Amino acid sequence: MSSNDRADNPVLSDHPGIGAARHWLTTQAGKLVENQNVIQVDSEATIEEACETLIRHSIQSVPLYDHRSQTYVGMFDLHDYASYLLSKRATLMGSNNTGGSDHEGLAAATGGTMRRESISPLARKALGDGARRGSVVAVSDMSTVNPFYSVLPETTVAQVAMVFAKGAHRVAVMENERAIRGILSQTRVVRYFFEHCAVQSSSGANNDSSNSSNASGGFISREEDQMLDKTLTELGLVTRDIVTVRPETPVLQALSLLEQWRVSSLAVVDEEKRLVGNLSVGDVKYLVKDRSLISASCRELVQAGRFLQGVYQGKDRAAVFSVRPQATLRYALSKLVATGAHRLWITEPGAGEVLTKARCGVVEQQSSTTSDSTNTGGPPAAGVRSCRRASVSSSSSQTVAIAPPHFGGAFDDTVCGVISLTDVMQLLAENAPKPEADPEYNYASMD
Amino acid sequence: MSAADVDRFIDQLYKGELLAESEVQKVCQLVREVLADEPNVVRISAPVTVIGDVHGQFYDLLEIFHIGGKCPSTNYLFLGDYVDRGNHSVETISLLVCLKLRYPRRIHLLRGNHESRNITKTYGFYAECMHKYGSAGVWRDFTDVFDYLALAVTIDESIFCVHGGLSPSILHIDQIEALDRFGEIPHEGALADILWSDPDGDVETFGRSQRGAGYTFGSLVVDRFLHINGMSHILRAHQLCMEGYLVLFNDRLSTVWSAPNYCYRCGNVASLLHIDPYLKRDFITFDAAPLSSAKAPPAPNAAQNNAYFL
Repeated sequence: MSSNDRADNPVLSDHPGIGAARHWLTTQAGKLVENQNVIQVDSEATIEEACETLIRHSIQSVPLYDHRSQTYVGMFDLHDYASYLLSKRATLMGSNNTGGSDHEGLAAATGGTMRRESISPLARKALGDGARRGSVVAVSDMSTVNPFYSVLPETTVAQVAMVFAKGAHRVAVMENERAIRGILSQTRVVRYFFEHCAVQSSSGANNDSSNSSNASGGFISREEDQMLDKTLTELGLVTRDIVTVRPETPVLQALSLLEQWRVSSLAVVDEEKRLVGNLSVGDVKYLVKDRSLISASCRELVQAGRFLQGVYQGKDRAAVFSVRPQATLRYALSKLVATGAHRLWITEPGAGEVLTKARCGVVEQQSSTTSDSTNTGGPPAAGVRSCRRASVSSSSSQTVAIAPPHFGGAFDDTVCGVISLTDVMQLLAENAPKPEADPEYNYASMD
Repeated sequence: MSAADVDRFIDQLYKGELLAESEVQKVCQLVREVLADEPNVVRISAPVTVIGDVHGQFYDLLEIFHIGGKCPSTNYLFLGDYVDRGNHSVETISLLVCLKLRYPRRIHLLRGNHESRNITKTYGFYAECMHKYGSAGVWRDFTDVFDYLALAVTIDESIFCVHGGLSPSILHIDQIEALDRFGEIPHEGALADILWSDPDGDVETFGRSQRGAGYTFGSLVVDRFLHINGMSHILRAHQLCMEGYLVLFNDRLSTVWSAPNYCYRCGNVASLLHIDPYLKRDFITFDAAPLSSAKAPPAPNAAQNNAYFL
């Protein structure tokens, strides 16, 4: 039954039956968080301390531990902090909480219309508690309303994937009710899927032999394999339904948009609708570092974030992480996994709008080549010649699968969709093998 | 504009005084003509002193000239990333561009991934230009110059120098020659790769980059590139080195980093690399200049801009 027997036949047959290879979704959650260094924060800590922890460890949320009851009481998450900031600002700007003036205060603070109901319950609670306690609001005030998703180490990835497909970003894998073995995030699950199921060697076959230590979970169904080669357009991700802001948009307005539309990030576009940056809820943690940023523009907040990121990592990153609609899911996954991003913007060339000096690079053909003409849709502007590109393979055939240049976005692209980790989890959940096929796939609810 | 005019600008800039907007425009126009004549891969000879990322740390640039000698008595090769992050990107790039105009064969400037319109809009150069000149004209002039910067240099046909690293699309240096470099850096493709890629000891060939552009590349790729092109060493910058430099892959590749105490807080040391006529490599490390973290000369507000117009 050893999965090594199946190493050269990784694609699961349609009717696995007894003795079949184990599908990747049957991997246990505990395996994916082994040897994790669990970061946590005391429930009595201040918001500033919690945000500092998030920045220092490059994480998005952190469990809160109450040392008196010796239990975990919630997760601190930046969405909550964003709501809290909005509400606090509204209270400062509005007058003393009559219904009408609250509404006006919020509208003034956010520069847009914002319904009272859209302040999250926890933020309202935090405001109330904060007022009693004074200016220092403890972190636990902000998060006890949110569910603390927890699973056992034996819970399968299949079950966790269902939760992720509904939009949760992480679950806590509990050793017992008092100890967390690790936090299992969407990022981790997608990376696991990619490394075991989607990586292609130059010969084009699924290659699992390098992952023998994790071989027990590394198999993929035919539907999933076919799905990986579909384009983002075919997968229905080019919705053109994107919430955008301009670089000059005030930060508070951006935060209220995040709340209102329940999204984790906004595309920053210039006056010609070209994608120039990305503002995500994760950037909110920089507001703690520099209070003045709360009255700043989106551009300034993104700049501050990148400044700090580069300092901590010593490496600057591309201004936007984007991908074209004709890119495959496999390519998009490889970029998501490599960059650690939570989403890639799907972008397409701006209609006829190219800087006068921009020209495409032409690579001369060397040994065996294939050439692609990159007619990426939309008529080229007058004065710009269309490009030809060649992909070059080396003499030793050990070449990484080079993305055709038209998979990645260009600097004058407009945004037409997004592929997020939640989208990926939904696709994986939809294309997972059906439970009837094998009793191993346990889709019972987590309760 | 005469050589004497440019000398005057250089003296002014050594003192940290900005040029007038019209002077910047003229200098940029002339230096573009100089750069347009250079091929994508410029061939130079040792001795030469190689400098990595400077990132607007102007007082540390002055320190470099102090340690390495002034141009033109010392030959210099800069590997890119002149702007962004530091507080004096304008002074830095102004001085380097004037030196290039005045002594085109004594100083060579390569393009880094920060010599780009969309990167400079996010990482500080655009904001600094707006702050110091009150308008985006100077930013436009300099980013137009960036489009003309050479992509790579070879020293005595033996040492290959580029800002980032290697590309899966580039086996032979001739392929770099064939690129059309006169435009904004694309998001993907060979030109983007050589400005964005990083070496990685854990990878044998190529891997996807965490940066979202370029690739990571390993020892097999380095060996093959050097062998096919008949070279002995690759010099690049692009990554922060706490010790100022890093030598990898059995001395086949070095990273030079020339911004000490990066962002005024990293506490790192920086280096310059002196290459003698026998191609012997010698790293000289240095700390941040005392003035570097001190208060910068106060930036003028818009009303005072007139002081810079002669």
